[in-house]
Amino acid sequence: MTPPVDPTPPLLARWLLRLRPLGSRRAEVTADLAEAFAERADAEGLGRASRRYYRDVLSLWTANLSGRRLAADAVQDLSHGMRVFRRNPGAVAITVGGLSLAIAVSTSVFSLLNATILRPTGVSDPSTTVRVMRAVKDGIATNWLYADYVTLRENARMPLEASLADGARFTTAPASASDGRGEHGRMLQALDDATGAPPVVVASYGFWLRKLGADPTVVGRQIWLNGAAVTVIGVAERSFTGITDQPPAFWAPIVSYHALFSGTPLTRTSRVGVNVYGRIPPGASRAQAEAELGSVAAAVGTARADSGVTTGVRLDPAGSRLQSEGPALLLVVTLVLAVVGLLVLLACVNVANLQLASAISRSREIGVRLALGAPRARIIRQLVTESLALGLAAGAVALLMTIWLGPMLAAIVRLPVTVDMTPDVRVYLFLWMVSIAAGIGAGLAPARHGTRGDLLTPLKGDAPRAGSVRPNRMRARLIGVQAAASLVLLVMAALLTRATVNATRVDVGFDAQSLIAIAAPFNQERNTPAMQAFLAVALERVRAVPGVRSASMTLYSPYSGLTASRQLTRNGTPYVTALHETLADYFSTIGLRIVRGRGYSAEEVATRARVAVVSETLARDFWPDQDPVGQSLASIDGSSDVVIGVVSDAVTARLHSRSAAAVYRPMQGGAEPGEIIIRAAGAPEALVPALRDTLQRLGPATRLDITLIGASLQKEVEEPRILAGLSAALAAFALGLAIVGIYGVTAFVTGQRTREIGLRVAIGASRGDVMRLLLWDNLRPVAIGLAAGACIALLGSQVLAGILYGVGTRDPLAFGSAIGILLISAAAAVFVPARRASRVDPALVLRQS
Amino acid sequence: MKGERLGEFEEFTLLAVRALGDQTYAVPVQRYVEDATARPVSMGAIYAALARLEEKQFVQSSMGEATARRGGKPKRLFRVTPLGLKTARELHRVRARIWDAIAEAKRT
Repeated sequence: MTPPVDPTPPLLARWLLRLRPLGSRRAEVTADLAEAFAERADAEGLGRASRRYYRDVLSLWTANLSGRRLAADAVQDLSHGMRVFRRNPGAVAITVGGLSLAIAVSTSVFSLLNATILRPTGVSDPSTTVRVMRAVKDGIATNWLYADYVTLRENARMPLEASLADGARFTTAPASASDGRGEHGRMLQALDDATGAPPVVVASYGFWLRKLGADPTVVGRQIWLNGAAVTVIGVAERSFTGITDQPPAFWAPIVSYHALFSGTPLTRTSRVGVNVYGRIPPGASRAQAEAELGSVAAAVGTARADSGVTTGVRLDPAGSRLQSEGPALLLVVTLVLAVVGLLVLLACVNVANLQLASAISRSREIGVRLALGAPRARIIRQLVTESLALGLAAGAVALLMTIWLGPMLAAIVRLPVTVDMTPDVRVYLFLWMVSIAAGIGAGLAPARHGTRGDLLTPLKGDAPRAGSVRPNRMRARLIGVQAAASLVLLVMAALLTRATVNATRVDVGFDAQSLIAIAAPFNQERNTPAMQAFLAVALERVRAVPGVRSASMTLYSPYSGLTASRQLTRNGTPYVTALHETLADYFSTIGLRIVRGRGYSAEEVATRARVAVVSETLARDFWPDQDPVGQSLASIDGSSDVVIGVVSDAVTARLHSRSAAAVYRPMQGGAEPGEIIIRAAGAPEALVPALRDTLQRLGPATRLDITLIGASLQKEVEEPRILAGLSAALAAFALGLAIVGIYGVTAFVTGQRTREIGLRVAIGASRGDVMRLLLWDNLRPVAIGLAAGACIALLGSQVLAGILYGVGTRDPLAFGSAIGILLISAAAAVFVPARRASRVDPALVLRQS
Repeated sequence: MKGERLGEFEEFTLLAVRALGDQTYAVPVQRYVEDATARPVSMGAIYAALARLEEKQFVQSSMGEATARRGGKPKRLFRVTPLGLKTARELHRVRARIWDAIAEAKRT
């Protein structure tokens, strides 16, 4: 039989115990607590014993502290601190200034994040709100036919609602999709959505502010929208954005569709595309709701040309942006917070350096207090209290700065007016937490160091000369951290800037600038034979418009936000490629070269021949050593096409994925009408009025959207530019902090070493020797920090590369330039004080000592 | 710091040391005070009380022998000093006098 083993106390509590300074009594106290724990574990069970152990350990921290004494100490420390600060107002101003700027910048960035992403959408009960996606054979589709939606709603147990968005203009969304609080009037209710109800709208706060003159009496008034009279029944509160992709200008019940879009009234058979939202019923899990709704959907689904039969549903969380956008957004948020954290860390390191310097010059004072019997913990507390006071002062200044910085940042990133940047509790909490953390963080290291040194040297009065190894090592570490953090920020900025440059000059494989797309808007009944016929005629008319070099048709135009894809299999694994269904002259219109074989002919399009043209990338991936022409391209659904040609690569969607794998095949003429693509001979803008005229004459009642494809491409490019601008500003700020920090520390250290340098010169060291020594001593930690920073930046760039187009994971230019800038700045920051020090007159120095 | 007074918790701790037969240490004292007062008492409070008692010279401590149970770790043994005993007795007498006076007042 093995002897019973005494249970061990909980790990965390044992750590806490180890952290508590106990001096010579440690062994006895640890043994006492362990014994009490073992006894209780026997008598009362492990759980109770563990809880008591925690209490006992915590009581060691608190038993000797009385609130009053702590407060009295703090007051004493503060008044002492004030005297110290008054003696050195310059250093205090620099500390508070630098720290407050860092806190203000990080708080502004955080409040931007808070306003756009973290803040709830304003929808009540967001956790049960879901978007209903359509599961189809090859994946997931977002959009439902209104007719399908009606049948689905009638057969499902779960409450469902449809929304139909017209860009940022308005969303028809019934009761719960816009269920939130109103600033004035009321929000939509179920009765507004009843057939025959008078058309009403709820205005968004931004629309009310800009277009309705911020007039509270607007509620109940009739306004004209799109030629229809509607009654404004309410104004949503400012932060309310609803659950649809883009916050619209106003919300209207879906029954007012025909009034607002001047279309035909919706009927049970309307083939308008809608988005469907729902609420998971109380008591049901998401999986249950998904299964139940899925079986209903599979039974009612109409087959569609682009995505096939509905096989089920997927319920995506839609209640908050963070949830609905998924991990990519979370990654961006994490990244931004990491950058902000780095910035604050930099500022802290600067303050820590300053404090360290002051702790060294105060080592005499501290030495005296230690010699008189002050406990080290007491002195640490005093130094931390001082830096905490600095941190809080910086926080107060930062609070004022944020009032200016916040709106400035909003203007830089062109935040829509509906986004409410007013700081809320979260922002204030963030600000004070950062201030306190910065204060304590900046004070802790110097305080630990300041109380560690020997007692004798400072008392003898030559503290500055002491030159013990420890402070140098601590300072070197701080400088290293600073160099590393600055490098990470600089590399990020460089990568983003490069990405922007790449993106604006992106070679998408064709000239997008003079292309124009004409499409039926998605909020209209576009999937009808009538629309198809209309577009076919329109295509012929448009070809005859002067200034049109050529025109063709495709299912979705480039950068329209819509793509079709096709899943192939390569070596047994799924391979997703873009699918373009086009007319024969699409290649010549957008400007793709036929590299091998041929494109399909008009006859092949007319007969819907099973032929395909593939992009070079796809050809390379599938048939690296063979002639792709004549190969058969099997889709996962069993159908196959014969490859008749290869065209040059083009990136027509999602720039950051840079995927140029594509399959082109003749238009199949399904439900989707397709879009007209036009190559203009001259400036595309000039052609738009003529095109609009032609279409207007052809069908005055039909509304078609005309978009410049170059502009759509520009929009895709825009995103990284904003980010790049922001991060470049942050990086410049970080670089400034780093230079100031390195300069300050070097100046201090070389100042402290004046006597040593004088001695070296006196015994024959040349000025060059001294310079080399000082440069090497001070640049070494920078170099080590840079190496560490490079590793972190390498990891960070992997994350960035996943999000943004054109960001390389190992960009030598970005890394090289960032390291170069930092090294040069650091060398300059070291050089100036080092030169000053190397010019000391040895006789003067030696005489002084 | 001779001749100081006893706080309530200090008095319990002092009496517990005495009751446990002098030459006792923190763990039994904690258990004793808990049992006697029927309320949970933290080890930190016991240490603090013992430290104050020692400062006031009401108890004395010495390092004791290691026992197997404690894995060979030492323990600090406490013993009530004559001064401590006298102060505790004095306190007890004062209390008794007051209670007697109360009882007297009720009877009349």
